[in-house]
Amino acid sequence: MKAQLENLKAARLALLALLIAAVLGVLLVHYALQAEQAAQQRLGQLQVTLNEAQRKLSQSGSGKDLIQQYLDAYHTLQQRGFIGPDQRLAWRDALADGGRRLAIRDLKFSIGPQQPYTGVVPVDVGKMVLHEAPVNLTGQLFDENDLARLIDILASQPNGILGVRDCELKRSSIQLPSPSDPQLQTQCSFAWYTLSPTAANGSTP
Amino acid sequence: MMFTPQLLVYVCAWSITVACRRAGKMRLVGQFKADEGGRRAFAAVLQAFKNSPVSVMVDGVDEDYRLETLPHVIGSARREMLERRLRQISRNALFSAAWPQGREAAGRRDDRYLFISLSNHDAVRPWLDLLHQHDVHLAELTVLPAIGHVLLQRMQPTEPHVLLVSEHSGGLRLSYFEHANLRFSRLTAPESVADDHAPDIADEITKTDLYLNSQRLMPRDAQLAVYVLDPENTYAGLCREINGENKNLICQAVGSAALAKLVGVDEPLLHRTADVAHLAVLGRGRAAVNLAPAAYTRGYVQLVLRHKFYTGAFAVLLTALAISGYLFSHQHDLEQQRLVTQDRIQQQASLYRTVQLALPQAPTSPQNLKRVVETARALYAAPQPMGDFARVSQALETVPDIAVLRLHWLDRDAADTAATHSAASKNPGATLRALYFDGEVTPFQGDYKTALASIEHFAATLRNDPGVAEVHVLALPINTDPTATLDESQRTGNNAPGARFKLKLLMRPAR
Repeated sequence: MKAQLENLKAARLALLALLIAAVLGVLLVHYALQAEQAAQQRLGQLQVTLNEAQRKLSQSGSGKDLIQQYLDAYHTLQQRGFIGPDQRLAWRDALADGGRRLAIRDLKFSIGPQQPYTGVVPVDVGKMVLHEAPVNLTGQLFDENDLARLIDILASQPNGILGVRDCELKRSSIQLPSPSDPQLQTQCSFAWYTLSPTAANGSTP
Repeated sequence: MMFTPQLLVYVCAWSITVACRRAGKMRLVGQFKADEGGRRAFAAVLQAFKNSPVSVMVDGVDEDYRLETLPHVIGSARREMLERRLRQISRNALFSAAWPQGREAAGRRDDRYLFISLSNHDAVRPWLDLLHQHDVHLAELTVLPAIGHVLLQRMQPTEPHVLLVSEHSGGLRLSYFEHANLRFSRLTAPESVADDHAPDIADEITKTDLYLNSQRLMPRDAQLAVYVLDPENTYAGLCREINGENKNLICQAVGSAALAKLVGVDEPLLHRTADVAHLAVLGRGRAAVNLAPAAYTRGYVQLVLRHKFYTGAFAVLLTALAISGYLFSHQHDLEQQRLVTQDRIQQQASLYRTVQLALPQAPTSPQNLKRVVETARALYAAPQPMGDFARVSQALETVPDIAVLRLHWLDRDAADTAATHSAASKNPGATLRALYFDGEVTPFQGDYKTALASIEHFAATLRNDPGVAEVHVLALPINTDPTATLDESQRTGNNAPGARFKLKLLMRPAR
C-alpha cells in the first residue's frame, strides 16, 4: 500500500493531467450537448409553427366557403340580439307585455343573474362564451293555449334565443269554470341565451 | 510507450551488448567491456535514454536453478510460501525468482516451481547502478535461459526433450527443456571454446547429453532434439556429424534466415553479434521470470503508471472531442434545418396573407361564424313543451272519461330511469325529456275495474305514440299490489273518493 501511494505520488502530475482532461472532456461534452439540445428545441418549436402555418393555410380555402355559407345567418343572429350583451331590460318588457296581452293573472317573474350555459343541448362555441339568464315565471291562465302563445311572444323577441327548461300547468279545479276566473295555474322556467364573441379575459377568438 | 525507446541489455562477466527498440524496430547500440572505459562509454550512451525503460538479460555461471514441488495454494498464502522458500533456497540473494512450471500429473497435483537466483551479482550490479544514475528505469532482469524458453515456444518443437544451444558473448549456452519447461541450463566459458568452434560444441552437446542421462533428468534412451542457433550459418556440418555419431541425438541448425523470421529482425543484424537473437526477444511483453526486486523496478512501475495516466488523459480528451465533434456537427445540421424551416414558415405565412386578403370581410373567423350559427340552430331546435302537451291531448281524445289535473314538462329530469341514463350515455344530445301527467277518471262511481281499464287504455295509447319512449304508472286510484293491504271506507255523495292517478312519460328525442 505504501509503495502504491509512493507510485501515485510520483505520478501526481500525470494524475492531475488525467483529472483535468476528464473535467475538460466532461465540460466540452456537456457544452456540446446543451448546444445540440437547444438547437433541437428551436427546430422543434419551428416545426410546430410550420405545422400550424400549414394547417391555417390549408384551412383558409375552406374558410372562404364557411364565410359564404354562414355570414348571412351570422348577421341575422346579430340583428336578433343573440350575439351581444345581456338585455334583461328588454326581456322584462317582453315578459310584462306578454302577460298584459294574454291577461295572465297574478303574473310574477324573475330574471336571474347571467351565467355560463348549462342547457342539455350540446353546443360548441370554441373560445367564445355562451351565457344564459334564467327566468322563473308564475301566473294564472284562462286557456292552455295561452302558454303556447306566451312562449311564442317571448321567443319572437329580438333579444336573444329563448329556451324552455321546465313548465307546469295545473288545473285549479275540475268543476265547470267560471268565464271570469282563470282555471290554470302555470309555473315555468325559461333561459335567455346570448353569446359573447370574446372570452371573459377580453381576448378575441 | 510505443514511441519511447526501449533499451535492451545483455550482460555477461566481461561485457555487455546493448540494443534499442523504438516503434518495434530494433537497432544495435554497441558492446561495452566490463572495465572503466566500457562503463564510461556506456554512461555516455545512456544520456540519450533518460526516462526510458530497460530490460536486462544476464548470462553468467553464477545462476542457480532448483526445481521443487510445493503444495498447491493460491493467493497470499502462495505468495508468502514462495517468498519464504525463495529466501531459503537463494540464501537471500538479491536477484531471485520462482518460475511456475505447471503442476504434477499425479498425487496431490502439487505445483512445480523452478527457483532461479544469481548467487553472485558482481557482474551485473555496476551496470544497474549506471542505469539508475542516468534515470533509465529497470523494467525486468531475467536470465538468458528464460529468453531461450520464449524462443523455443516460437520454434514450436514437437519433440518432448529439447536441448537449445546458442553462442553468446559470455560463452556457449546449453539449456534443456522437457515439454517446453526449463529443466537445466549450463554455460561454458569462452576459454573452453576454441577458434574452430564446431568440434568443441559437439563435445559440449555430448557431455550435456551424458549429464542429463546420468542425473536422470531425462529418461534413459530417450531421443534428445538439439537445436543449434546458427546466425552465421556455419553449423550444418556439425549437426550432420552429431546425427551420425549418436542415434539418440537429433541435431538441427537454425540458420540466419529462419532465426531472423523467428525473432523478427533483419537478417544482417544477426551477423553483427551473437547476442542479437535473444535481445530481439527480450522486452517483448513481460518476461516469464523477473529476478529484479521491487525496489529496482519501482522507477519503471512509476513510469508505466505515468504513461497510463497520460494515455488515459489523451484518450479522455480524444473521446470528448469525438463526442462533442459529433454533437456540434449534429447541431450544425439542426441549424441548417432550422433555417430551411424558417424559410418555409415565411413562405406559408406569405401565402396565408395572400389568401386572407382574398377572403370576404367577416366579423370573426370562419370557424367562429360556423360555431355561432350552428349553436343558434341547435338552441332553436331545442324541444318545447307544447308539442308534448299536444301528444297527450291527442291521447286524451280516445279516453273521454279522463280529466287532466296537472301537466309538468321538464327538458331533463333528475329522476330519469335507467333507460334514460343509458340513452344519454350513448348520445349526450339525446337526453330524454320528461312529462308528468296527473289526472282522474270522471265520473267515478266506485267502479275501480272500469277506472283502471280506462287508465290502462290511456297509457297504452300513449305507448303507441311514436314520440313517446316510455310510460310509467306512478300511482293508481287503488293499490292492487297483492303484497300490500287494500284499505277502503265506503263514502257517498260529495265525499266519494276520486279515481286519481299519475303517469310519467319519457319523450323520444326530436330527430
